[in-house]
Amino acid sequence: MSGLAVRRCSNVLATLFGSTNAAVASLLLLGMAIWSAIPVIRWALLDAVWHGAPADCRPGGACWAYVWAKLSFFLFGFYPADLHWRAALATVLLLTALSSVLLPWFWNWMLLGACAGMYASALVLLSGGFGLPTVDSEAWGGLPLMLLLTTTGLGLGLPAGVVLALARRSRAPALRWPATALIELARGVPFISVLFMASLLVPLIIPGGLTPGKLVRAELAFALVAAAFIAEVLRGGLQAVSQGQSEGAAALGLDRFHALRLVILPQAFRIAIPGLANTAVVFLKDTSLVLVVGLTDPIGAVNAAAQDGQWLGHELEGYLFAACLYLILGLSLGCYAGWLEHELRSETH
Amino acid sequence: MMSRRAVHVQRTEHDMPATNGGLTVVCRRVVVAAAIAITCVLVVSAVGSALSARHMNGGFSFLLRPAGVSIPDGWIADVPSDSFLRLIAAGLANTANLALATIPLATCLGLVVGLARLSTNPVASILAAAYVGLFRTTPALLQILIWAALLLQLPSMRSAVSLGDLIFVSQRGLQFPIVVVRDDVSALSMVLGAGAAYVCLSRASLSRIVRLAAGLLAAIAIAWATSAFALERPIRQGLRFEGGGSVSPEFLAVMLGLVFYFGAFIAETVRSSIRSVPYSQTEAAISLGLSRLRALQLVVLPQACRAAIPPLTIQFSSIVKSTSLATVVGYPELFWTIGATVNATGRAPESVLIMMGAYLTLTLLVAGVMELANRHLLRQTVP
Repeated sequence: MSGLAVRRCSNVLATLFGSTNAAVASLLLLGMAIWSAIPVIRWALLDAVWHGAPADCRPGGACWAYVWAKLSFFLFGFYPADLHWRAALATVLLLTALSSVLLPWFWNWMLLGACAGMYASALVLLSGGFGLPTVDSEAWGGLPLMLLLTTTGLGLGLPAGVVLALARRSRAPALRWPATALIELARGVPFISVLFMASLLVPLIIPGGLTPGKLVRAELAFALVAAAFIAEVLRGGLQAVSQGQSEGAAALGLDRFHALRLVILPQAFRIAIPGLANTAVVFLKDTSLVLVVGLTDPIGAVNAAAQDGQWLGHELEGYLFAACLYLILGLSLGCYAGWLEHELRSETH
Repeated sequence: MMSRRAVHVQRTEHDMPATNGGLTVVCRRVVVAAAIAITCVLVVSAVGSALSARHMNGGFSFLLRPAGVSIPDGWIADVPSDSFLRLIAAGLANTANLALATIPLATCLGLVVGLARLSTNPVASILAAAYVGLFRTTPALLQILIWAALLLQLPSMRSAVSLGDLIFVSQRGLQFPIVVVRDDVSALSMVLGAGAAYVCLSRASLSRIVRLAAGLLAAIAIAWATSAFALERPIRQGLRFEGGGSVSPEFLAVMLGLVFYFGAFIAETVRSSIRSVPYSQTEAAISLGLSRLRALQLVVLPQACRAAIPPLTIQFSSIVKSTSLATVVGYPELFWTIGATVNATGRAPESVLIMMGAYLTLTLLVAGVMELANRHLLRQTVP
């Protein structure tokens, strides 16, 4: 055991310092890394203040006491403080719904029903009704809002994306041209502008008192862009399914719809899953853009908290906390995507 | 005797049997087309009637009204009395400015980090992997906000950090010296002299680099002799800097945020495109006697460039689209100016139409330029 360790160490050392070039490069890089890390570590850890009042924070060190004081605001936004348990429960339900969709062994109709049930109960918890005091959707914020937007956007965008992908590949120009136009439009324009467009134009299309609130408009914009990106990923998957599959399905007597449902789409999905997982990670990050239309996602909450008169000048600590939040979610989702790709590849070969 | 000819089956999409018969297919397509057309007509008429109910029918003439908003810096300066059209044009110019500044820097950073990630040195590859993992997972908006918060810590103008009194970094942004043409005639003669030197030397069979160097020397000599150019340095005057070029802290925050964010994505693109070149190429190059570095430069990178162009096109289009995030820090680019226009005039649909058209045009431009680069690369390499 120790022999192996010694051999590994000597291998690493040989690579690092074997030749003159390598030694110089290693020393230079290590030196640069340590030189730039020292002030950061000193600011973030050594000189930092971990608990206390606003007066305890020194200018040379990070003020993590600010993060502790504002933690519930960062996580739940403007949601009423005494009802935070509902928001926390809704977050847990949404996380469970999202993660149960991710495991291939669970994919059947019961799972869809369970996810729909969890999503509906999360909505009820957040909004009220059924004996619970109501909370207007404008007050929802933070982590539940981010997960709600991701779930709704991807949940609506997936079937719409399938339809768009099939329409784009169809032989009828009446289907192909609008689908291509819609996909290229939704992908060629910045996401912020689609959000902006939805929040401005939806009240014009749907008149009067039925006008949906900010959250619904943002979700519509999300679903549209998600559908376009998912359609492109699925198009790649559909192209990768060989022609022989559709010919074989036709030879078995299946009509187009059943051929798609039973033969082609499952294989296309299997091929497209790494791309879909990547799209999900991208959309999780893009939920941060809703602060432009006035919704309070974690970054919006951090921005709002920085205006507090008692704790001025500590935006950086708030942003770093939000960065940690996104890092945890994004890295775990990314690791999962890599694992899934590995799993599926080893299954098919 | 029958000749045995291989029967070549042409696979066209029309070979797919239409199981229901031709007429049904045509009817189905007509119904679908009619449904889509009716939906579009309904939506457009709904929007139109909603607009006329609010008396917002006026076409695009609102663009000629004075805007009342000013954009002091940038390629197109804009004062409050200028029209909305000029305001939007100034925003578009700022977007192009930001994109043109970000794309080369992000590509260089991505190239360096991608190569470091592939290197055999564990320190380099671990550092590069940490950078990519960190900067790819956090949203671009958050990174821009963090850079803006960091740039707020810069010293005030009075105690600005200066590099040899030429470059100043302070809360007012970055001030740097620029080259100003003092005398048009001398500048023109400089360019002509350089061109003449280049062309004359092409008679002699000298390499292109020698000819370019000679042309450059001729240009510098003429410029120095006639003092056609002058270096304008920023000079502190009270609360401002006079002269020289400057870049606002908002521009810096957005540029740094986008460069580091897209640098991580481009690093992954570089890594995957270099790995797509078969290892046998490197082995063959090394067996020919090239060092690893020369093998990389002469054999692997040219082939990797071809594979890298489609994903790089996507990254560059994303950079152009992500310049819209500058709204959050207050840099007046296209999205910000459109927002100001909608706020001032209330003409949402027309402004949104202009904005979408502008971004689609920019994305098409990027795709077109990359396609030209692709053709140029394909022509150079032997298939």
